[in-house]
Amino acid sequence: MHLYSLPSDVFLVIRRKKTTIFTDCKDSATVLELKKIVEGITKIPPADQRLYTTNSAIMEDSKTLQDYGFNATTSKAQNPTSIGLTFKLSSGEFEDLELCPYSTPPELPDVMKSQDANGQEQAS
Amino acid sequence: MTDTQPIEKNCVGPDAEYIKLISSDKKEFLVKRSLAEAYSGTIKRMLGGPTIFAEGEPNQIEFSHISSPVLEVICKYLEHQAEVEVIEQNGGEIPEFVIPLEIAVNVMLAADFLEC
Repeated sequence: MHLYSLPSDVFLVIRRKKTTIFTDCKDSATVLELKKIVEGITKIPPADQRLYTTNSAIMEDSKTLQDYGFNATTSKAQNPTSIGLTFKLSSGEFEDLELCPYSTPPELPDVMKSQDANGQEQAS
Repeated sequence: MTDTQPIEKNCVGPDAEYIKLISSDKKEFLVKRSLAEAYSGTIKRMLGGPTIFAEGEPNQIEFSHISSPVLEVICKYLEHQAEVEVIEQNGGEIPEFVIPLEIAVNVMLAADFLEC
């Protein structure tokens, strides 16, 4: 079964607070199309959404992902581009962009620290 | 398709085309359902088993023993697998999938559990 057929797919991670959405679309897709995808998942209309690039610039609906520098070369499946998302509050203001960081991984045990990148011999 | 129509995502439940994977620290990860079912035997069974989700309820699975960094790597791996399949069909080099060393063991345990 193949799910993606063209190399122009841009892999994205849309993040808001504690939610992360893994998705993909064409690099020619507009920001508005991306918001519609988010609408399908979150039920929030595009007008109440705001998308941000990695340096917190607000993305305009009419621009494409290519315009913001996202393309298949920069946004691979194993290293997708992160896009921020906020919703409009009932007061009419947009929430602050807030991405809850993932939990810190536990400290590496000393036994593993002395090994090279092949620390996968042990299966507990 | 007019501009006012949302992209139809077969929203039977709120997230029907996407499923929600919840990590031990309550972080939510939404991935395409087709992706998760195709590349994780465990998730496929979980979604098709006795705990059928009712209409209107989000399709979500809680992993109380998998932390968010690990679950993030798993999600990326599912996408990576899909990409690999396309590359194998078209020919070309498969990109390397890098896993941070600190969580490598936990990722392997989770991958073993999820059969992916």
